[in-house]
Amino acid sequence: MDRVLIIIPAYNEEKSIRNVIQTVKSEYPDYDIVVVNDGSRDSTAAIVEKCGVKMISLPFNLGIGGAVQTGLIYAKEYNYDIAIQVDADGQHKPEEVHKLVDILRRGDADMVVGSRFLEKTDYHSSFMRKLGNLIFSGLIALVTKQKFSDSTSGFRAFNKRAIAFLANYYPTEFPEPESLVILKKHGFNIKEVSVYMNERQGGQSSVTKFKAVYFMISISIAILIDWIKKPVIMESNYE
Amino acid sequence: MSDPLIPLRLQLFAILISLILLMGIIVLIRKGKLKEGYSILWFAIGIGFLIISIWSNLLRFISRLVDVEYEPATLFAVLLIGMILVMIHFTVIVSGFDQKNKTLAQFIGLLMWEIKRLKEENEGIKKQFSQLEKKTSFSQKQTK
Repeated sequence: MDRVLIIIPAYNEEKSIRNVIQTVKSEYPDYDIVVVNDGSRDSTAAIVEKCGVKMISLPFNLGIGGAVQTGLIYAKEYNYDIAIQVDADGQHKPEEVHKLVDILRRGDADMVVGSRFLEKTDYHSSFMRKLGNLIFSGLIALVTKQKFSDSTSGFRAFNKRAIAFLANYYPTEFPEPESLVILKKHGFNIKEVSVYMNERQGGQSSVTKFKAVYFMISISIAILIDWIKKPVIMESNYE
Repeated sequence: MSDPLIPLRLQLFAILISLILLMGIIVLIRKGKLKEGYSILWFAIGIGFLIISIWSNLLRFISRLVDVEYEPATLFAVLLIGMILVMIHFTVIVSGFDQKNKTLAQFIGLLMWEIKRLKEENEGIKKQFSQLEKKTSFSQKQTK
């Protein structure tokens, strides 16, 4: 039986985290859970402690990329076969984790992304997000020759090879779209699978309207930079 | 040298400023407030300043080379390019710090968790040990 780790990055998610942890626990009793508390200043840590799951607390806020990478380092250290990122804000449905894991278990991909837009679901997103997604998809398709319908989705599963690589080289500025480019560049296989997502429960989107345009431009630049960056020398254990 | 580019008094002033700059850098290094690695750049700038202020015809030569009529403009251009280089250099250093800072934070988090786990394990072993101790002392009493 392969060992599976659910990584839940959490930054000030006291409203939703208990629910997320409990759903994961009841749906997948065999999977291990690690919460990466990314310098939360609310009662997130206390709630996680009460839930009785492993928690790595970062000394200060690193952002989603740094938090997820911490989980991946943990997964690598403890030799997990599969790691899945499930956001603590309740947007990702733990019930859908198996969709991602199944594809990894079949050996069809190194990373699987849960996509909101691969098939028509009742997920509504703002015009700005749709526009951003369109631009990023186009750019990523241009550089990687693969079409991604939801490049900003953080609902992802990684196999051992991807874990080992990303534990060392995880983009932390705009991790979701950038990691697609970086993984493709280093010859990893990525698949998308259609998932349903909840509209955000608690907390606020990290992207406000004012910043949306700024983000679009900087993410586009980041994607291009990732593509022209020198590839890192792969350690033999990624092969 | 027949037609001095800058008045003598101004030249002396420029040389003085350059020397003060170089002295300042040396003092900072001696006090350990400026790491040698970063000081090379400032030395280069200070010496560049000094060269330009002593050998004022250099500025004229550069100006003619790039076809600049107004020589002080060349001075500003050289300074500006120098400043941009310094800023790029600093951004590179800050990027390195950023990366290291992140890695440190991640490993502090991981180690703290590891310590907590080991402490709990240790407590468990201690408890088991003391229970075992009680049992053996009890059985020893019985055999006596």
